[in-house]
Amino acid sequence: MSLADESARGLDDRAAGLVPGDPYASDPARPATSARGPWWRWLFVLPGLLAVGYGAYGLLGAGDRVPLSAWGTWFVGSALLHDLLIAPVWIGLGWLAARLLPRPARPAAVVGVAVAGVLTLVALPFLLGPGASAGNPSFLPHEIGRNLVLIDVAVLAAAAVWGTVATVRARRAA
Amino acid sequence: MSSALDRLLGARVPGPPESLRRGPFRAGAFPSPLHSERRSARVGLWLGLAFTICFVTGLISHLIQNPPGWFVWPASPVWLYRVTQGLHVAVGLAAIPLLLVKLWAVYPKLFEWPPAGSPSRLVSRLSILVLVGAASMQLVTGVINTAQWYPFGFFFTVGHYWTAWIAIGAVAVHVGAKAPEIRRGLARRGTPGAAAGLTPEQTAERAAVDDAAETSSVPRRAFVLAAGLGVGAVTLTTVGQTFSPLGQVSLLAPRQPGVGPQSLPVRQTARAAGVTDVGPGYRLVIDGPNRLELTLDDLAAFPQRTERLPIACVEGWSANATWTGVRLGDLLAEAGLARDTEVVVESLQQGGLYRTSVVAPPHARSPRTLLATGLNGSPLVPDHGYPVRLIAPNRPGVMQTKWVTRVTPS
Repeated sequence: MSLADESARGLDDRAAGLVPGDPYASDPARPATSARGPWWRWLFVLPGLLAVGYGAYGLLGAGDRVPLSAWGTWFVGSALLHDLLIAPVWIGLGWLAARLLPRPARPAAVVGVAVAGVLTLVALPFLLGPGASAGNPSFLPHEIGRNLVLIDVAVLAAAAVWGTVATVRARRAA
Repeated sequence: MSSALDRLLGARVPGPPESLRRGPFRAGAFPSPLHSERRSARVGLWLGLAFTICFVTGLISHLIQNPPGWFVWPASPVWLYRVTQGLHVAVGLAAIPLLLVKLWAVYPKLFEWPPAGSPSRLVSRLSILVLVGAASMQLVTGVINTAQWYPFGFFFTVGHYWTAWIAIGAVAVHVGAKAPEIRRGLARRGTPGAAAGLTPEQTAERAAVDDAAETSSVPRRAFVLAAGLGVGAVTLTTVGQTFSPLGQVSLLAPRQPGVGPQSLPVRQTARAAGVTDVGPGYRLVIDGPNRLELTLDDLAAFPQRTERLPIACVEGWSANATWTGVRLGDLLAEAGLARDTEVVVESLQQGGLYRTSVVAPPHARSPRTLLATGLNGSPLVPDHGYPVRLIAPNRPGVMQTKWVTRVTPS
């Protein structure tokens, strides 16, 4: 069962059937309150909850140095940046690849676009932000925009060669 | 038998009508067998290590800059802070591809149906929001901060510090909450550990998914390669900002050791600090029983020392340089103070969070701590702190105060 199957099923009714007299069991081996084990989980859960509480306490006590509205915007916004932007774009690209690319070329496409994409994401703040300043030539000594384009083109070209070779070899073998 | 708590946590909550179950909520919307317990656990292990390293190194940096009474940071080895802070930023950058891969692996769980089938599912999903929010926020704001861009609306250092506690705590809670899944996912395939807590039917289902992942159109090997090369590419293109042999290779790094005025990068320029008109009226004051008020010529009459010490910026870049100047300890002794007196070093700069810094006893007494007037063989230029700057071993760059005008026992 993949995670997709797991989340599609919601509650696993088979489990309830396997635990006599417990219609609420979500797992035949572990109904909700038997999730006390394994014992070592509490070595993570309890200190973890303490740390979360300490962080929340610190944020609440930070006053106007950390306005909670600004903090909340970045907290939720950073998660949504992935869930609503990066992941859908990636899945859209996958959808295209599944239609346009022959099957043996797809691993190369995934690796190439993943590498080029993550490099772009990491370089983006340097391109979107205030960037290099004339007053401080030691900041951004490289032309990051140009370098990023060159690196991405090289990565994608390498992936294209790999994908083409894989496709040709697969056809010859067939 | 089910207890009252079982019935409460496991109670079925009515879901939305099936007619709303569209798009990613449909069964089968995410067909890849790489969305699996095994892949999630294994990427998660690396990501957990990365967050642990970032938390510990970040905490060290925080404690050095805001030391509580019990904390002592040594003056040697001189390279230690350079390594811890270099790791903090390098590992944080490497965690970006890891987090993306991890979130991709578990993305179908975002579209669970029904969205919250029971109170326990609701609690679990809210805890995941805390985990993903804190983890993403730390990486996003961290990178943006190294780009010297401050669009946050909060003080970066304060927000990043407290959110780090939430992030590491949420990671720990997640590891505990997912203990059985992690145990199975990290166990070798086919071993009893990989089937722990499962019925034979469930074991067979998971094994089938992992088998399918070996031969799917994008197989496990491509998934692992994409993650590994992503981490490698990000590291290779940025780590040269602190690991100088790769300075020429790291084409996306915001700094390069050896590039800057007097062959050393600068964080804050003299113009930005508003210290551009240091004239002959300049005096360096050392407060003490025998108060000193020194001109640059007076300072030149003290024994001159030369030390090779790194500047290690909190932003993750660092570079070695050769500094010339007077030992801080010599000046303290001349002013009638013990050599290990804790002192505050004050800049000519009028504002800014880092106008002053505290030199704790280990650094005050270190023979390598200088009030420097020269850098790499020539007098300091204004951007490096002309006329006088502090340079001490094993300290963050923000505490290497520039344009020093006063030293006071704290």
